[in-house]
Amino acid sequence: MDGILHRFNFFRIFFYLRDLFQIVMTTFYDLGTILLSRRSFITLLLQQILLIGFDAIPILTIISLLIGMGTVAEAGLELPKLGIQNLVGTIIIHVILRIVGPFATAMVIIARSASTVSVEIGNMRVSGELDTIEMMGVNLSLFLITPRIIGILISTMALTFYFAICSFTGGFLMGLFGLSMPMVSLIESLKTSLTLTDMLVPILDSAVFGLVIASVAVYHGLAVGRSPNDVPRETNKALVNAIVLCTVFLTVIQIFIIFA
Amino acid sequence: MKEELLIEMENASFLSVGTSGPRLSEVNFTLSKCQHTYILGKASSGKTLFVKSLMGLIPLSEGTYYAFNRSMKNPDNLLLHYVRKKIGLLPEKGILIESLSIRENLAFPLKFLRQNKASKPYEIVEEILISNQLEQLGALMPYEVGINDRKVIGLLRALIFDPSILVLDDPYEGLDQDGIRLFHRYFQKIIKNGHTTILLFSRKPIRPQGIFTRTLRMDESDSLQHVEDSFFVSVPENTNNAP
Repeated sequence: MDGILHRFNFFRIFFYLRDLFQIVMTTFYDLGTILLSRRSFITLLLQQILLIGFDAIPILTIISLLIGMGTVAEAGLELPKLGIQNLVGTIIIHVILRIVGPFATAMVIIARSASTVSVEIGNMRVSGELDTIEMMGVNLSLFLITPRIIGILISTMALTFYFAICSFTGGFLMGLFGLSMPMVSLIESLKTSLTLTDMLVPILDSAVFGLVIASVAVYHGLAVGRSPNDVPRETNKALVNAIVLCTVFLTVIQIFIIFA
Repeated sequence: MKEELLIEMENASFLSVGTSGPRLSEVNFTLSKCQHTYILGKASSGKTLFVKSLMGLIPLSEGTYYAFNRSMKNPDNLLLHYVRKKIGLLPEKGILIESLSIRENLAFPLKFLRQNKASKPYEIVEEILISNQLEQLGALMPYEVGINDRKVIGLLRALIFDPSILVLDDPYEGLDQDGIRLFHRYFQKIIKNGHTTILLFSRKPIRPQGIFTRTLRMDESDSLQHVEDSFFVSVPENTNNAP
């Protein structure tokens, strides 16, 4: 009965968000401590960036090229029918740079890294490594949590811009070879449509997504109990919750920008 | 001369945070310097819980607990850090961090508990590995070495800061006879050193001769009683593989 009531207790979402916020705040506090005391943090951080960011480049390149090609093909074929072919650049920028780019990058990071972090921390809990680290007097956050959260944050932001560059490349290739669009007009169209907001929105999006993905993955990794069965269960929750929260934040940011 | 008291528990009860799981109740226990103690307890008698309570991982709910003359009632991070650095621990589970090599596992406390120049921890670790004839293990990952070596590396890591107390949670678990003998020789070296007091928890009645000054038995009621020497089995000493 308690289990059923717990499932229908919608207020727990607020406690969940509060815990995620607490993880993010602790990370930034510890980051300050680490930077001040110059602990051997840089190696750990670089390892995480390599694992989360660098290793995701091949799969992200393919996805971004294909999305760029698909978007330009669709826009290049359909917009002239409506007589608004001059809006191709604006649509590409809005779709790829503001929405699809950050969101698709977030999905790749969730699939690759949120699961990795959650499983890694969960397994460490089950095997007793987390208790050992704590009993040795080492701050778990310094060794385990802060490098992963900052690593995911930096990687998400960098990969979002990489995604945009690859998508534009894919779009140009499609425009040039698939639709025989004049290259100059496409570049001109992009140049006139690009504003400062278009550059700031992906930064904001990717930073929020990075923090959401990282804190959710860490939270569910730490939530694993003593049973090995908890690891897949918590990883599943981490992936679903990260996708839902990224979608919610994407919408909230878009609405905020429209009204701002 | 007054003996130096390291650990003092009086009617101490410990309870895991947010759980209704097992707890230790009304424990009376003292540990003085050089009072090397062997605590024997059956499986599920609360040995690991005792170790976690000792290390401040499980909070004190009732009674008093003093570690190095400092009260462990609601300890702050600084006190926990101080106490944990003075207690070397060989845990029962999760002895080594699986994602780090043996060398990095040994360097781990040096890197994260002490301010060192970037290369210094590895210089210390290299010395330790060479002096214990384990240099060939340095680059290996924990899953590539046997249980004897894993436990020895865990023991060396526990001794890295020359702790006042060495806590061993079921160290004999999984060890073969060679491993047990090797551990006994390490114990003799530690005792000769004179600085570290050994506190060993085990479910196996294997007690080396001339090392432990007292033997206690833990039962379900969390009380600690003295045990007769005849209760233990002895492992014949063999001088072939010195540490």
